[in-house]
Amino acid sequence: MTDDKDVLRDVWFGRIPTCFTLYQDEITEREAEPYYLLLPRVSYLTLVTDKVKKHFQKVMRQEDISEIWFEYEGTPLKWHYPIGLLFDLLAASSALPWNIIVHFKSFPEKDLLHCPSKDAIEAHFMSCIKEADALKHKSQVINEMQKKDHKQLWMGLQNDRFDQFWAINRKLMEYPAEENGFRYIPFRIYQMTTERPFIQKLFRPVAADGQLQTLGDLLREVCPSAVAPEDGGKKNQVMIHGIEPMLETPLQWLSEHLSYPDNFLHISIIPQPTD
Amino acid sequence: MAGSEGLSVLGAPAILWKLHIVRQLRQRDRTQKALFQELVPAYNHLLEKAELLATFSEKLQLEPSEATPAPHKGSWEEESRPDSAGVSSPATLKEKWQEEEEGLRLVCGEMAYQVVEKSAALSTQQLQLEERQDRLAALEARVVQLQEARAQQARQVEEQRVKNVAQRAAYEDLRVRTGDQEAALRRLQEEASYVLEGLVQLKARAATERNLRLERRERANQARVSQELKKAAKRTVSISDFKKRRGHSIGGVPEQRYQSIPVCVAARLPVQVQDVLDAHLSEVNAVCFGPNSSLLATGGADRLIHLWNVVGGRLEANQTLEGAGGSITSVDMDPSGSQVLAATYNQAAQLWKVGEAHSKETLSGHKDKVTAAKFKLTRHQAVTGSRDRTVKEWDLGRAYCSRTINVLSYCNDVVCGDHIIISGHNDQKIRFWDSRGPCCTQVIPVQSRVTSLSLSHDQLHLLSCSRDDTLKVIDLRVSNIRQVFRADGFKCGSDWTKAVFSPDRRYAVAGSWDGALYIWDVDTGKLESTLRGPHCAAVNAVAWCYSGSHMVSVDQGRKVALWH
Repeated sequence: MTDDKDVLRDVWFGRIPTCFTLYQDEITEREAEPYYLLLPRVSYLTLVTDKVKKHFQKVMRQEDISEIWFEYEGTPLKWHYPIGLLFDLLAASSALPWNIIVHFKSFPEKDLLHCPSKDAIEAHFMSCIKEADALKHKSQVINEMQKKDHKQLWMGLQNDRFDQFWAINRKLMEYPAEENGFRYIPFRIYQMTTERPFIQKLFRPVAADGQLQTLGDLLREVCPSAVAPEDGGKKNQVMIHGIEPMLETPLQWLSEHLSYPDNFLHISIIPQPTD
Repeated sequence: MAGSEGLSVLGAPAILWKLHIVRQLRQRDRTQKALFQELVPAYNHLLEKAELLATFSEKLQLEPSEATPAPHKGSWEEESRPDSAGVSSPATLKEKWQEEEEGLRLVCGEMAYQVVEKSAALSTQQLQLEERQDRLAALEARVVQLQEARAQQARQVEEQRVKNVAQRAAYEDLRVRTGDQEAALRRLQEEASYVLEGLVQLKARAATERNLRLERRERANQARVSQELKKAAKRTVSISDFKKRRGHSIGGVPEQRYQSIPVCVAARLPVQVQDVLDAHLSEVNAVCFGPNSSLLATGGADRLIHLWNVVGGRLEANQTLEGAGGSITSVDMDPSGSQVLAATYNQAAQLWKVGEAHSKETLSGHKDKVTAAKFKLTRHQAVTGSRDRTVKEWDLGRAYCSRTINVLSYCNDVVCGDHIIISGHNDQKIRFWDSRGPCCTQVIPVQSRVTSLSLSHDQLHLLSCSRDDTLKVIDLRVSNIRQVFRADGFKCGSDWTKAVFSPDRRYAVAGSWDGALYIWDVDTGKLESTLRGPHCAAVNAVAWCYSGSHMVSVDQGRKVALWH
């Protein structure tokens, strides 16, 4: 249906206006102007910030440059999270554009992983896809694909090519006709308040009586505190890709259409904005 | 996609969440993307331009800083010279020229860039133009092709029209020719019918001529014979042996009798029905065979007598004798086969000649319905029995009643022998009358009303059928009842049910009220056979032909059946 195709396109081409500012303690030869960029929600920070790096390296001396890293309001940004997830989790309620501080020194070893090259991002991306397919199809579909198909997925993401990516990804979204969905739904629920980085559990999209499970069913089962506020607590927002889907949305449909390119449903639970 | 299946399963309310998601995505894009989409690239573009200007300005600053040490050098070298001012002016000039050169080179570079751009644009435009021209050429070629095709089609249409016209002309010709042929055929057919008529007439004429010739020959023969007789008669015969002279014996003209009817030696027992017809419009009351066993007369309550020919096992209608005044009760044919006598309800008996449809004579005089009329064995005489308790003898030549016998009861049937008349009556008696004397010679009582009488061919046995469902065979020589026939299921259907002997007097046959024919063996008295089949109503009369090969039965259901 054209609606579903539109949803896929809107998800893929989602952008976040970002303003990159150099950390004031960095040593510069002259003043560095902030660099604005429309970041793709579905990509990864280190994949799309080459221009940023070049822009700021122009004003710095060569010997001061080590690995680039980003932070927002004091929180170092993990490059292996998709950009959209980082924004929804940390800055959803703040004013646009998203102000990210660029650092070249003092890489926080405890908080962030190193990203030596594009190959590291590729390896991380492909391993997420394989993990998702293991949950969905017991890895049958991903293992049937050839190496060039895996490469095509990565190239599609890297070059922002919607058709190239989905030509292969649609095979990962199919399920056998006798079932009504995937085996398990690949999802991760992120909440800033908990000490765990995320919640990931086995969850079937179709209940024992054949009913399709909804987003509400998933949250009630896996993270009940998100939906039912505790005593004195405020209500929480359930955000995916910057929108709040209705809790009656079927989980199978969400997994097919609102997953990130790594085939996972990254769900953010954030407190309701108080304004 | 698999998702669409899920949607169709859930139904209309499910679209709510999808619409919500679509709306939310669009709103997100509006607030987050759309606002900044043009702004960010424009900002970056300005940034680039600023950097470019910065680099240019840097370069320009470097140039003068390079240029200034040289003039310093020049002035130091040529300090002693008096024209140090002249030396500085070429340096400043050089500086200016270098600046100009720089500027010009920049402009040049820009121009070159523009030239390159423009030439690229031009080449693309030329490519487009060529492409369009190619397409145009192709379309023109196609147009030419189509026009050719059209011309060809038009030509074909013309050809077809011409062919059509030719075909129509040919068709017209054929039609005219068939009309002519049909007219010729009709003419030939008329001629043929004329010819046929002529032929028939010729044949008829030939037949009459042959008849005439035969007659002439006969007459000649007869004349010859009479001549010879006369000659022989003329010869006197001596009767001198006789002593007394006898008187002439007086004798009248001998009564003309019918020629002897062929006697049947053995009759065949009929077994199966050969033909069944609806003979009359109403009940069929009487049936009688002619002497030659192929002519049959049936009379019915519809006042008609039908003559039939027995041809090849089938009954063919020959003639219908009309003019009876009432229902026919009995039919008799004379031994010559040329006359038919019928007794009617109309208190009269009527005489027909075979071949004439209307009756020749009417014998009237009875005062009630005539139940039986039979030819006597002498020519031109008949006997009728009637319910007015009389039996009348008639002279047919003059159509008058020659004798009336008063019997004491209704007469149901009458048969004639050589000199006896036998009548069967309602008062359960059979009376015998001598045709020479007036009174009743004999009376034989039977158990019930007599419905019919039949005389055997040798005139020695009489078969009577009576209402107590019995048939009696009476030996006329000793006048006693020889046999009584009964059978299970045999019942007389009416007061005029007829039973007959077979021609060789071996069998007696009668029809029953249920449509079956019962045949008894006269000598043994046993029921020989029962014939069922064609009749659904009571059988009124039965007749056995003189050759013994066929038997006919008629019933109240208008049917006549031919048995073999």
